[in-house]
Amino acid sequence: MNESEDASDEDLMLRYAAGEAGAFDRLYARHRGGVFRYLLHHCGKRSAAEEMFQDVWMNLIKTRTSYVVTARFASFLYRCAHNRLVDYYRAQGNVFEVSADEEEGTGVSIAELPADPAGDPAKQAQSRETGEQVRAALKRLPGVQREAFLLQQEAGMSLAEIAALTGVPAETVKSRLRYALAKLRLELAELAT
Amino acid sequence: MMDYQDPRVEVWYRGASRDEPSSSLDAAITAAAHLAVGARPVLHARRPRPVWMVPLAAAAVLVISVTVLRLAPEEEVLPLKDAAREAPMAESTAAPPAKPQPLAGKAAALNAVSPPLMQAAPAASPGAVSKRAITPSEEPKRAGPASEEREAKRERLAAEPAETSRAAAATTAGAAPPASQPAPAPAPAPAPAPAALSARSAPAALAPPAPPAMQLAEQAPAGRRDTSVGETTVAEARKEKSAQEGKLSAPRQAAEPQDARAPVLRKGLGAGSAAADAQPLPPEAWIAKLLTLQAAGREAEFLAELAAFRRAYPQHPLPPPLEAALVRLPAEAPRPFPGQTPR
Repeated sequence: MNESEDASDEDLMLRYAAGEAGAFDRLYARHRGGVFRYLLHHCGKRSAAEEMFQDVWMNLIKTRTSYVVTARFASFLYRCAHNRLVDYYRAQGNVFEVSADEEEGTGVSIAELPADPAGDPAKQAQSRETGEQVRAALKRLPGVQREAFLLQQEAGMSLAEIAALTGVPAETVKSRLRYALAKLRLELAELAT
Repeated sequence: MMDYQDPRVEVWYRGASRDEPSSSLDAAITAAAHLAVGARPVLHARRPRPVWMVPLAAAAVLVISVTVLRLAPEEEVLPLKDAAREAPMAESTAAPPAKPQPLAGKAAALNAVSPPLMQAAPAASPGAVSKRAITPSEEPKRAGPASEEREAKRERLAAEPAETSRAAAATTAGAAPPASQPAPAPAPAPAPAPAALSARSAPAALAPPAPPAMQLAEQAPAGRRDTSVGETTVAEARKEKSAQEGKLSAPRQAAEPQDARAPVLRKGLGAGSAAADAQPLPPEAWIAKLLTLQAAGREAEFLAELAAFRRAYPQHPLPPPLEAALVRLPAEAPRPFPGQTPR
């Protein structure tokens, strides 16, 4: 394993900003799937996701020289993606704001959500679920919960990082994640039956 | 376990969601990234060419090249072959042979071999003078490079329709029409008749028909009847053929330039006439001798000489007194058959 493969995202970004094209290739290979799925599962449209995906990376290329390491590179990258999503929803006329009603809109309390479904959901998911079902389940989640879940799964962000990106307290993020997981478990339970 | 994390949901999610951007999108983004820093773009999306494509392409190029090379010469030669096939047809009435230069060279060689005879002939027949008056203007064309010959052939092919019709007419009427009939230009003549010469420079539609040989002969002065251009070229061709056969004898060399009906003359000479075989006189001198004999009343000698003359020059025009005396010749005297084709 050479030095480039061990290099951090931040280091690779700095090297790319300095003119090393190969650093961008490695950086892109690391994050291309996560960013794309984040956008795709968020908006639910592949064409829109591809357009936003290209915009995110093109914006990164353009602003490479102004990149300063203040946080993890993933936070920087997903912030770009998040902002692009906000623009997309604004252009669509949809509201991406978080409301208390949205978090509570399911009409199901956390206590009522299935905590630990019996059986092996992983096996059930692997055998029955498809990508379409996952997308459908994610689409049924409120936007803020979906975003918190996707940022956690695709970007590997911590509560603090998600909170910093979304501009809400970490406890709010934790709450969103709990609701999201509970609903997804319910979906899994329905699929299993 | 923290309540905001669920490994089973994560496994379910990761197992089911494997969406990725398209390869074309990857290629576009990486290319843009490389171009932004001035590096050479890496074409991720390009699939490697199959290994079998290179030898297949090489084999296809080879086969096409060989085919083109084998076909190309045929395409180039075909028109020339066609022209060569059609040229004799056109030349039979109008065009000169393809080897006029050797003709001139052979004539010069003949002059060198037997100077007295060859020098006597022009003196006796001014046709040689007319011949030399024509040939210098023709010879530069004949002696020109191959490209000029091709140009001449093209021009002849352009004038071919008129000449071909004339050739057909000459074939049907016979190559050696009777002297009393107006005949087209002699078909076997390899040298250009006056009409043919004009046909070369003029379009085929405007080319006048070749004047009959007899007409030309009549238009010429009495002493020059055998010196028309057509006759001269007939003699030229005969010289060439005889030189090729290596059988050209000195007496024949002397007689040929003045002979008006060369092929028939050869037949007559081949008949074994002693008078003809033994150095026949030029026609004009012989006619003068015949007139002298007729005037002197030496009938037997006159008829013998007239018969010998007729054998030597069967189609040579005769003055009216001699023409009238032809009826008194013996029956076995060779008389030209109307439409007879000389061998």
